[in-house]
Amino acid sequence: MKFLVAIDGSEESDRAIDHAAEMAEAADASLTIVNSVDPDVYDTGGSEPVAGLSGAERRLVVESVADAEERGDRLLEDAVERARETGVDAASELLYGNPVETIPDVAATDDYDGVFVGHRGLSDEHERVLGSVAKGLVERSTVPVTVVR
Amino acid sequence: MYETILVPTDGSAGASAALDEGIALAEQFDATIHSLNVVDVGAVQPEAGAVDLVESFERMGEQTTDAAVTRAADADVEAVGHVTTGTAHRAITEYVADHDVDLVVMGTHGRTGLERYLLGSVTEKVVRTADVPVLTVRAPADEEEGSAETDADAAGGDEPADDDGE
Repeated sequence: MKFLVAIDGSEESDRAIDHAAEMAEAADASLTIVNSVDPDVYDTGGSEPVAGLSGAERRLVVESVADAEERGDRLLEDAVERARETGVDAASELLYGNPVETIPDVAATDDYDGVFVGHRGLSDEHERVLGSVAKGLVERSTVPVTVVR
Repeated sequence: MYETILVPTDGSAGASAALDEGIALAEQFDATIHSLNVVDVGAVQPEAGAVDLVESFERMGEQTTDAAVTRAADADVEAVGHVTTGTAHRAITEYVADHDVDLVVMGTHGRTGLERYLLGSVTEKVVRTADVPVLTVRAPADEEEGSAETDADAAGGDEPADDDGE
């Protein structure tokens, strides 16, 4: 058995790690923790044509992707440590892209048996407009998804 | 870690896949399966014959939950069935609170694109409102269509739910 946990550094995703670690222990499953860095978020150079951007501005965009990678790596390190504290050895992987797409892809391609994700209690109005990663995973994943509050 | 596992059912393929998953977990954790069918009274117009209609939905619900209990028993898993009336997702979250449920297992149809923006679902609402973990299981692709057409009564799977502005 192989379980995947998707994290974003929130309290809810910490609870997803705890829950998945307990499940992994009970099911004697391996645990992999992933964070997806979404380049889309940083690909916002404004409405100016690309040719009009100065070199410095380009570099700012590139650096923020690097920042996101660094943040992702740090989150994953903390998450692996958190799982280890509950007695479970976890692997970690940084993914690139929209988590709602990358996580179901990895789960299906690498034959995971289950995906765990935290869910923030957003208001109905908020969620109707923005959606949530948890909801997206539930809709897209072919592998069973456990949403942890 | 799981003692009480709730599997809401509407008799659909999604609910059936969820039941399989729920039974597997119940075996592992020595948990009890609660099979719940919700007759959504909002779908029945208060006209002559409405009472008969609700009663026949309730009978259908009992057959569905009885079948679930039997399937659990075949796997040596303890199970109880329950039929209630109300708005599906609300009845489910109330049941979670009243029966100390540790996990809810539900089916999804895996909608994509425009459809998922336009149609809400009972599963989605439970994911959003339940205080306990919700395990969602995708219905096998080849069975989805047939089951969607036979989802006459309420709740548990992933049929469109009326938006009640909660």
